[in-house]
Amino acid sequence: MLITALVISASGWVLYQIANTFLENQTQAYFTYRESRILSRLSEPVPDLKLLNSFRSQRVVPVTSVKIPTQSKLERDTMLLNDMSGDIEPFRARTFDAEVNGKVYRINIFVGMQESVLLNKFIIQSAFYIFLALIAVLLLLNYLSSRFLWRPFDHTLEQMKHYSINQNQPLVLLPTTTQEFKDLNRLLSQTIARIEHDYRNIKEFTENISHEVQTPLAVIKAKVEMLLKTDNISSGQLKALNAVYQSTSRLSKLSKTLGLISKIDNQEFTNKEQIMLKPFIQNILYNFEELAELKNVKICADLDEKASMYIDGYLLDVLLSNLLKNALSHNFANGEITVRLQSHRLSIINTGQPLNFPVEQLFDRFRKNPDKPQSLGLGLAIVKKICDMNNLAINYHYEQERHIFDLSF
Amino acid sequence: MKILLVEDNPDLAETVVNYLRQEGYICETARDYKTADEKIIVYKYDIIILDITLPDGNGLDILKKLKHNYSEAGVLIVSAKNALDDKVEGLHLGADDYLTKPFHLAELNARIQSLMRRRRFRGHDEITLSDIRVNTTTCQVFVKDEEITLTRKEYELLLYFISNRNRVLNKESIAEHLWGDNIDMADSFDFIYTHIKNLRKKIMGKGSRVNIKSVYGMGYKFISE
Repeated sequence: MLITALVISASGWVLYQIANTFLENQTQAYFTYRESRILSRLSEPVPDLKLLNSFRSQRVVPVTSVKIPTQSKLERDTMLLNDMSGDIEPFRARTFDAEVNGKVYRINIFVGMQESVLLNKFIIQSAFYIFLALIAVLLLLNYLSSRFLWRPFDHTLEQMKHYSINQNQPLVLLPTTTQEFKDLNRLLSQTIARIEHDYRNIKEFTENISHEVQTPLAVIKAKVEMLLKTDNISSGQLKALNAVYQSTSRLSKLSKTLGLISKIDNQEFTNKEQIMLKPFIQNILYNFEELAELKNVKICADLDEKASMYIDGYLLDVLLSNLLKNALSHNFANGEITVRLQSHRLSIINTGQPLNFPVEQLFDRFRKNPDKPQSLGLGLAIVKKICDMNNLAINYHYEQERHIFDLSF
Repeated sequence: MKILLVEDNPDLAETVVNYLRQEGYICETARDYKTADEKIIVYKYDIIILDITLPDGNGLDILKKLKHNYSEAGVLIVSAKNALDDKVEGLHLGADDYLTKPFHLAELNARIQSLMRRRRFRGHDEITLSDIRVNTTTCQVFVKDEEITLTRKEYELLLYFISNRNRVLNKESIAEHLWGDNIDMADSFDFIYTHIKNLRKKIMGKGSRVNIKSVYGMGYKFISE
């Protein structure tokens, strides 16, 4: 639009200049013609000044005070009364002195400029109207093209916007006859096919690794266990074997947990149902009761009857168990855990030392309390992942020696 | 007592078989689906330990066949997959128990024994070890014919010890047996200590000859004589 405006005004300006130059030349030619006519009349033996001055558009006055011409050619624009039309109109005036036969005359010639002004006005006006018309046409074209021509493109855009590699939905693109769109769609389809292929590979790899690694680990574990059973091993060997044993367990747990995360990521838990939270939480709390007792942690539960959540049951179990496990293991001895369930909000509050790392890293993978090197540091990462995949908001803050996790659903 | 182990990994199969033989079981192995399929038709087993992922087939099909033939064998599924679906499907098809790899041999042993008890006594079951008698149906425990009251975990712990008597049990396997994944390992060791202390007090209080000995840096050993 801006470019059109620029082009139009530029062409208007060029037209104006050309017209102006043409008019200027015309005027100059006219002046020259009149000048030579006046001069030839003056050069007659007896110049008839009366006749010359009878034309309103010229005035010849003999100058007696000087012997040589003092005034060179002077041109100026002026406004004069045109007695033909009775209006004040622009005129171009040329004034000069000329010496003819020893006499000096001051000569004024006037040329009406009304036509040129009108012409200019006309040029500007027509440029403006053309501009308006062009804009209208452009808008119309734009509208039509976006409505019909760009439809496949818009459709492709829309598809891309809603495309998610997790969803496993093929990209449906509109067939089109436009070569560029054909190319675009083909390229997109190819790229997406490639990405999906890679994605599936990675997914398979993660899943495979998380179970394939378990059998060798089982071998290591069983072998170590057999070794531990033999009687004649030194305490040093015992220690070493124990370390191998524990690391094996850790490794196995690690790969199982990462496998779980990738499964959540791949949305493999799809048995969503409306779950009544109170009995569900009570059941989990029952499992934790004994552990809490051992640590002398008091669990208070204030649970709303009607609260429910639409989620996969297994994921909910993982989610809540992880949060409670977290609340229990990062607690003081003789501490407290409060579980408060409201209609759209679940708060799990536990006493404990403040975090010794930035809060933003709380849900990061492998972010763990340095005092607890045995923990995997994946519990809250799983919690976060489950929340993200199920549109639950989880918030954390620390207040009065208490860690507070708020889950809104 | 005859056990068939269906497991494709030779190392694991060998170790498990050795272990089970030491426990006094007669143990055979099948390395693939075909062999397993033949063996269950030809022989009769009390317990079949079944790996689901086999190179030439799915272990669950063997389970289906067993159930189709009204086999009496107890089936313990062992799988590398942690997948809930496999577990649910396996148990739904009639498997008696499910264990994920890697497992503690002691845990495997405990599961086999529990399975054995359920099979053999059909709910009427008493285990006697030295002067301790456990009724697994009513969950009552007697020391020198006097009943002692145990908490749920103490009871589970005692059974686990009895299944694996006279052998060092490491803390980790005890923790996993009692609490599964629900616990931070570091905390669990203290908890185990508390439980064992209480259990020991209750048993020794009645003057039992059995004892739970701690083995430094390793775990605990249940000594019956």
